[in-house]
Amino acid sequence: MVNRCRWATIALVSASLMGCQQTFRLSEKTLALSRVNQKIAVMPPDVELSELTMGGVKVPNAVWSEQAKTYLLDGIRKSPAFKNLDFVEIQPPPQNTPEDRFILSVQKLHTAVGDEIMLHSYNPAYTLPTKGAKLDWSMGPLAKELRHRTNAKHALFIHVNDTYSSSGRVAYAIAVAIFAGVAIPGGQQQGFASLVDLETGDVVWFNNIARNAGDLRSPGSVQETVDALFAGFPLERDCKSC
Amino acid sequence: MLSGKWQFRLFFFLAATLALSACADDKKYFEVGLKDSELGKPVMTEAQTASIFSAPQILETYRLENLKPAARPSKETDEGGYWFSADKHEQLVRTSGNLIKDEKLNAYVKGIICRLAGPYCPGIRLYIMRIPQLNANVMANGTTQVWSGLLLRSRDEAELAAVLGHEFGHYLRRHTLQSQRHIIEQTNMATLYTLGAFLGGAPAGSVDLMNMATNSSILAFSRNHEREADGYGLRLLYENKYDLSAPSEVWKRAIDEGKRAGQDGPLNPYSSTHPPDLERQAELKRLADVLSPTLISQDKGRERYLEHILPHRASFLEVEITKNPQKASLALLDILIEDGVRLGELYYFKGEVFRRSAKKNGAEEALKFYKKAIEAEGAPVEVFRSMALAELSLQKKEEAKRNFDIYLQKAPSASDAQIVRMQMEALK
Amino acid sequence: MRKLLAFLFVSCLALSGCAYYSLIPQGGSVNVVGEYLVKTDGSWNSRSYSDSVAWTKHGPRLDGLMFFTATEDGKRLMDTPFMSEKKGPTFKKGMTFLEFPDLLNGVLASLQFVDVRITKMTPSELGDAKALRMDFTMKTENGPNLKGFARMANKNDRLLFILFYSEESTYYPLVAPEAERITAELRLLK
Repeated sequence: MVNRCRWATIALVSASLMGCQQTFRLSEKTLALSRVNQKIAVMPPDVELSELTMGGVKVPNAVWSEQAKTYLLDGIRKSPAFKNLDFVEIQPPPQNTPEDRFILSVQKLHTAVGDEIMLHSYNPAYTLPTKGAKLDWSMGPLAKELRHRTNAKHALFIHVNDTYSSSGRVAYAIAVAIFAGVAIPGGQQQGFASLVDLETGDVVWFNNIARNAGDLRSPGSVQETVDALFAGFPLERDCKSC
Repeated sequence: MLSGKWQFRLFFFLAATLALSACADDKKYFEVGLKDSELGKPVMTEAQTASIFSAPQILETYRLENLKPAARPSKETDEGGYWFSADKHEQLVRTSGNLIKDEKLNAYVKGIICRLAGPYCPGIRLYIMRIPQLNANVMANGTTQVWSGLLLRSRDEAELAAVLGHEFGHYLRRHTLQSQRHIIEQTNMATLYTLGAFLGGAPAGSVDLMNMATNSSILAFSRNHEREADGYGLRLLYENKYDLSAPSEVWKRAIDEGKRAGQDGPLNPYSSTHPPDLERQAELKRLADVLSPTLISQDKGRERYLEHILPHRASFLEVEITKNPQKASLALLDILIEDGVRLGELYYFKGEVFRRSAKKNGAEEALKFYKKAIEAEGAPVEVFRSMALAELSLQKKEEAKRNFDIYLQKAPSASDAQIVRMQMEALK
Repeated sequence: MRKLLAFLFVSCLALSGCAYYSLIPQGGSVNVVGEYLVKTDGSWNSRSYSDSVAWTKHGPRLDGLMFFTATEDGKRLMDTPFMSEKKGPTFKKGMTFLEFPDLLNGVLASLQFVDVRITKMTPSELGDAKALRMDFTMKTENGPNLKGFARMANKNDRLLFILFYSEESTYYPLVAPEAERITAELRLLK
């Protein structure tokens, strides 16, 4: 009886915590977006995949990480929903050139903006009353400069951190779950993507995912993550959220 | 006692867990990836290093051949993963707000690094950081940080080279990789033990004991790394004919500074992450004493060093006294004063510490040091403004006026000249 | 079970109540820290700390307008420095404009800003008190470059201090004009 009660409570808590909360945010300016033949500058994606050892140590995996970047971009391009879009990757410029410094300053500002969106837009305790759930942040003049340099209408920022349990960790988790009834944390996928309108500088879409699912290690399973990461993407062909 | 069925289950799960983890967590790195043997010999234990008595033995033990730190590892390996991570971290370092970009200073420190690192120099990228603590580090991918607090505390090039040499010791022997592997092994073992103990109904305390053993094993491993890095650091000084007493001198003063500051922790991360300070300092001295007679000319490079560091010293000191507690700042300044270089500047900063302090007699104390500053060589013009301010707070208006005057004569276009003139008007 | 219920309770609490930011509506007059009467054009988000009230439009990494509580003689401007061993700077009653840059540097260091450079000092006002205005640039360890200004005044042996900072390229032009107006037009309550 005690056991059943415990599981019921855990289920209740998780349901109330995760609920059916929407992971993406849309700016009020999204409605005005044109959805045809858009050129989108994909900023150098920050993707890191690691393995969690049995003892809980995170080991970064370079091959997985680099492959995942390719799989992810291919997955986006192949997705029928984005057929109307032209994704152009921005390659990291050679270090210490003016281009390098410019891209870094764009990324730095985006990181700060992204951090604020994650904190204030997703964590109810930190909601900014002037914004509420509204997505209302800008990349200002840097966005216009980026448009000038890339000739793209939008910029896409992608950040994914993904961990996978090693088989030892999986075995350990199963054993502990069966014998002790306790859940051992395993692999987790965290990430966000955001779309910036380079004409106005506005962040028009932002999506933040944190889940115990998703696999970026093989091209076959990547579409599921693409769908999760691009939930509510406003430039989709038949955009449901628009 | 467990029933037969449970015993079977227990056995099955333990065996399965063991087998799976063994192939999943450690082995694959060693088999698929870089062979452990390529790292050279295993890290030496304390007993092994303590048994080195002669100069040839030292040189043989800390041989520099066959080390391959700079070669980018294959991406398939765990080492490749750590490099990938380090590359990402480097992005943060090279755009950090703490970065000091002065070209001359960077070229000078890079020169010392290249002298030490020799063939590995092209793989090293230097970042000088404005951080008020004695520290430097070299990441696996060659990202090298030198903190302003280290440049400030080294008395000559040999001392800076001693700390850098130690860090290169870690780099040459790829200690990051070794310790990561060790930690994975140890935590896996501890995890298995915990599981086994739980299933087998072992006494509760035994798991704590196991965790303690794991932690102390990881710590001991890291101490062995420090000792080994010390040895390689000394070897690099030897190769480059630097003064061999430098490492133990740096240590001695770091310990001294910690004591005077009344804290050995956060002020000095170098000593807190490198535990038994005194013992290591003694060992470094012992090795240096053995090696020294075989090296005829030993270079301290003090002139060269001061020529490059002194132009930046005031800005380094400003960060120290702004960021560190008063007692720590005074400890540092007193040790620098004992070294006696450009005393006017040091007394000025000592005065600043008192003037800006919360103490009631701060202004009086400050004035004593400002007076010493103008009698000594190298006091900045700001000393007259600071004197005036201290005098003003002690109601010594005439003296204050005089010193404001001197300040304006010496620095008529200072950024606060207009405010000083306003202040003088108010005094009339 | 009791623990889990407690957890449930706490998570519900976290989800529903205890918001850190409150709304400063536009176009009103607000009493801030009992010292300043502030007229607002636009709306702000306000968060209270033990020694200050910080307003922001877009989040504290991007912009912040901080009103410090008045500091009495011999007291520190900040009593709880953030992640630092160094205590905040101390105000002493006879202090002149020339000592204000030290106080500003001390506070910004306590707030973990780095590479602070005061670019300009100009005599100015804070309400009816004579004040020093300091313009500055600064950085954080890993964030974008920042720019800001502060006004400090010594009125009746109490230090009054208002600080504005913002990300340089985008948010300073967006937020600074309103912050300027607010600091220039506010009235002192004491």
